[in-house]
Amino acid sequence: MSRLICPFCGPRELREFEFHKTLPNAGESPFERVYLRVDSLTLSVEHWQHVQGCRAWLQIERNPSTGEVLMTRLARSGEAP
Amino acid sequence: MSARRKGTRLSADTLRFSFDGRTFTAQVGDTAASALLAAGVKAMGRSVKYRRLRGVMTAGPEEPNALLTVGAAPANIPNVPATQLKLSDGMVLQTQNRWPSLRFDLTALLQLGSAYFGAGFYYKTFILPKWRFWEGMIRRLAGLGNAPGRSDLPAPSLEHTHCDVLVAGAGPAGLAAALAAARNGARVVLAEREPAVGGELEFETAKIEGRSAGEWTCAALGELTRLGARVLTDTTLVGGSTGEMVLHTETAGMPGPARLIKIRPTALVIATGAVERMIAFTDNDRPGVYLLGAAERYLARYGVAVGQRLVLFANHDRVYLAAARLAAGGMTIAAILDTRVSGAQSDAARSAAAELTARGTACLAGHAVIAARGRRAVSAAVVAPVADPARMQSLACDAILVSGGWGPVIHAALQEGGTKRFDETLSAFVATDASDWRVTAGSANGAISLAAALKEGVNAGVAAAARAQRRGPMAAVPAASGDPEPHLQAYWRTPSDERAEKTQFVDPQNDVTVADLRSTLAEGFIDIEHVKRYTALGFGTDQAKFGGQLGAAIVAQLRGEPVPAVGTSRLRPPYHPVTLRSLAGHRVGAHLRPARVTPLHDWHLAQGAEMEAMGLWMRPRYYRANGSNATDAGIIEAGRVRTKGGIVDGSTLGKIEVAGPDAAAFLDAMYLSKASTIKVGRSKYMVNLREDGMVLDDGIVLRLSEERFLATVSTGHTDHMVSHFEHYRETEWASARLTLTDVTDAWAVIVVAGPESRAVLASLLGAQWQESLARLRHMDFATGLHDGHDLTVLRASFSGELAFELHCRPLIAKGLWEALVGAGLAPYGLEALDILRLEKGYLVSSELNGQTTPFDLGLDGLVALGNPCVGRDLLDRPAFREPHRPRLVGLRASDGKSRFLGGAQLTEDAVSAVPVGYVTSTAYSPALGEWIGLAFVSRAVPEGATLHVRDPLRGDNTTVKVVSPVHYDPKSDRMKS
Amino acid sequence: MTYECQITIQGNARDIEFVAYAELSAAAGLPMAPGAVSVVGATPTLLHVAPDRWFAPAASAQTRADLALLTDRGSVIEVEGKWQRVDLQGPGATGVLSETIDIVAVLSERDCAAVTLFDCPSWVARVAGGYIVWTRASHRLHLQAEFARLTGR
Repeated sequence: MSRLICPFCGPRELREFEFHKTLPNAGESPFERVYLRVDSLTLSVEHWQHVQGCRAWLQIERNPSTGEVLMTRLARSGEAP
Repeated sequence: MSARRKGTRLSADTLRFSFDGRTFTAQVGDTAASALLAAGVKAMGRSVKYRRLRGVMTAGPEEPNALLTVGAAPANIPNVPATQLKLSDGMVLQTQNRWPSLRFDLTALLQLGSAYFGAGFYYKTFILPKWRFWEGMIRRLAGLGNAPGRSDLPAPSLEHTHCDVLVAGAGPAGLAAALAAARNGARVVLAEREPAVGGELEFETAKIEGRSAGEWTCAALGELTRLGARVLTDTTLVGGSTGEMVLHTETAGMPGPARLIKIRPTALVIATGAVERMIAFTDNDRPGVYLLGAAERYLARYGVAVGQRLVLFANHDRVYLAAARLAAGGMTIAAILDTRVSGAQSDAARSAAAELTARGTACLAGHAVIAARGRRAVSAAVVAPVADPARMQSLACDAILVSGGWGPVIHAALQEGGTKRFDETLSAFVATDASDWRVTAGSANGAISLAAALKEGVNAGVAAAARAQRRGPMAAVPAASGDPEPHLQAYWRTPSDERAEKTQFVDPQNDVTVADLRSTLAEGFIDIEHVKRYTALGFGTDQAKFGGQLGAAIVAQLRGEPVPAVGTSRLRPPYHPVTLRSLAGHRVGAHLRPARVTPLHDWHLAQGAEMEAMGLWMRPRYYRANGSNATDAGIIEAGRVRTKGGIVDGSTLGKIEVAGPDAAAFLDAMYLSKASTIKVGRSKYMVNLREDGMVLDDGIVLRLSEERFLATVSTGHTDHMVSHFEHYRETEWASARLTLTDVTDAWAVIVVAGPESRAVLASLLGAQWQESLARLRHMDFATGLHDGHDLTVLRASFSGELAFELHCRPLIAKGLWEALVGAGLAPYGLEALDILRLEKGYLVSSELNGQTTPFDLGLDGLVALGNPCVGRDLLDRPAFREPHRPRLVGLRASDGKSRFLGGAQLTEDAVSAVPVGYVTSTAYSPALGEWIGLAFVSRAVPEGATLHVRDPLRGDNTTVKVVSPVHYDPKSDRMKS
Repeated sequence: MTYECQITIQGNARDIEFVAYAELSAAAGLPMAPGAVSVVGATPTLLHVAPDRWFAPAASAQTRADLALLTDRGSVIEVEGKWQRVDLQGPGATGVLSETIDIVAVLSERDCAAVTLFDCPSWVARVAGGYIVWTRASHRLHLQAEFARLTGR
């Protein structure tokens, strides 16, 4: 059962959101930050944008094996919903 | 005048329809299948591969054979199951897969070569002389029905909604679940595929809470309505994903006006019932072979007897009750063949059998149908004892009714990847619900008996309501009596020699036989998913409803393994055919994508513009007064701009207002060169890099005030650039005092270009503008009001002529535009715009293609400024400085007149197969009188070199000279005058 | 299927978007909750449509004066012409919007929302008797055509 809960707009259908990228690990070289990621079976930290709604950028933590969304917050302010 | 039939789905009113050119009469409520059967028509099509004559076998969406085409080309609708086709007056129906006619089908000659058409035949036969020799003919014969050229179906109505509990299926389990949930206060939506609720209760002779099944159903429906539940009939759950389910309603039957409901339930109860199964025997695809339950449905609903002298063939107790009902309907039951030995039957079954025997039916336990006999339809059944198949006898009959048990409909649980288990009592797969928001109940869950179905339904309804936080007192399970267990014993196919297996059909729709399954396994395709794809088992409208579990069981037998080890192939949506028209929703024709229009759109249309889609935007390519095609008109329009002047609608330009104390610093980081050094009232041409150092976009940035900028971005990249800026603003710049606002639609843009541009503008704008207009240097802008609304005049040029960009509020755009036209400046379109910018070597998406570095584009000067910006870090990569990296150059034909086109490759000689570059864009230049172009060419090729244009697709091969990309007015004197 | 709903296309308006970059207290006079709407009589004056973004349709002199006090906390952006306002009134208004989005769910805990209607980026507010929709002006023809089709025009 997955919708995403936009911290501003509330629960909205998945199609309203666009995935951008997974976040790089901190402290790596510019090349690594742009091109390399470490795959994890359990945790993916991602940037999405609510393009068909308020256009806020969200930071989402997801379990990529099950699809379960663990946490959603505005990328900007660190507010949890 | 024949007597009116009586049936639960029929009214007395009649209608007429045509079938393969003959006119028939039917009653309102008839499906095509029931009406044709009533008229004595048994042949309703031919099979897809072997072209065997076929009739209807079922009474539901699992129908494999009787697929008809509705209507005439080009708006024909193919592959509509006759069982789902509710007739309307004047309907035109055709059978499929035959030529020239159903009766005299020449393609049936294919049966003579059927040995060559086994599973996977196109890998094994028709290889000599080569496949292409045969391919055309085979493709013409292949496929189900003919694809239509257009759709005349009305737009479906759409609904997006939600509820507490969605119950799919309104049989006993579904009704019980809906009632239990609604009584606990849940908002319930109950969806039923058939036109009426009840499911198997339609034929149920058992009692529920002391009432007949019919009375109980009526009362349940009444209570549900009183409790506010939404009951949808003619509505099928066709699929769903991520928790949003899709319901499809066709009240007038398939196909007709439709409704598509996307509904998000908090909990889903799957009570979709079970579908009866076939048993494989020789020639079991003859017209006249039916599922047992189908015969009952045709009798009860439509008053149609599928035959007069019936042979019944089954492996469970219910066949005796069904026989009694059919006999009561006036049909003669010649024989009942029960594959189970004597003694396996229950008492109730045995006494029913005794009564039937007393009236002349031969009840043969431990017997099976070996083959169907008859040329165009069943005329006899060849039967034999299961233990001694050689002892055959022939029984005359005109219909064979088969029931091999039931396959629970588990699509809704499995389409999203649920798991299943094999229920040994039923010999069928059922879903094992792993999720907490979805539960299966009733015969869909293997609970075939009425009492079990009701109990599961109640429990499912209570659990579903609880998930939606609706609770109530303990729910009572309605007591049911008089419904025996079927005592089913698995029986999948009758034994035969291998030759006869070629006509033992497992999946009649895709012409998959037992022989096909055997040869597929022998060739190494052992996994059921491979078997499916190699044989086409479960393709088409069937989607494993008819042949899925039967096929899996026979594969298991052939492999010598238990059925659970084989499994079934993945079930996919939609559950039954849904027209593309329904799925398209509102996105059809002009509304396929949301067209965007400028404030001047109506003017362009009224004045003869030939509009073109540029992404989502509708823009004028050229104006028809200037020529009958883009090339001719573009040359006229571009030439006129240089000699006199013209105007072009540039409103699609992306515009972002960036404001706040940190706006300048932010823009410094977003662009290759600094924005903070731009003075108020000035603008600068700027370039954005992607984080990997590639050039992303370019545009002009205006400084409106100390803390306010207008960043323009190219039309095609606007949405991406807005997101790009927003991303950085909300991550690395999260605490900056800065705002971003997309103002693309808040400003119309009119470009006034050419030698007369300044004079015309001065004459049109009021006195308050004269001084600022006169003082405008190249890249300056002035702001003010015109007709009471905001106007900005920016002196900038994309054409290379003296030019001004007017940014005005949309309300005054048309007035300004018409005044400019009135003052003698004619409009030009995209074609001319492209010629003008090409003559100056300016960049558009052909050059800013995301694969070019700033060095490739000659922007080394901007890079050298050293501004730390996004993408700077990765500019130092050695790969960016390789000697063969492309470089932007101009091209001219060596002979001064030949044409060459964008996309052509460039080589150093006429025969080399290794390109040194490619042409990005070209145009015929009216200013220079010849074809000119821009290209990316290896740095190793010097200016002045001659290259060969290689254009194998379009044939414009010629030689060109490498020149500067600025073809016209290289010092830009005209622009800066 | 057509819905009983009156569609009124409104004219040009001097709208404002106010975008904050600093903390705002309730004293600023803006509707603070996500999706909250301030009204004067029955007219929406300020809509909290996105994080740190408020929409002031046809901003009155009073609204302009109020926002002018906040220029040290955010930007006042004039967006005249960017948004096309369409009013939906009548018992079928919810059905019209439900053709493209579950508008009841979207507005269940708020009075306004940023949405996409028939692929057109829009802002919607619930009002007495129906809804007000502001859609991006470049999308006006597409959205108006959909509304016309659904209301039988």
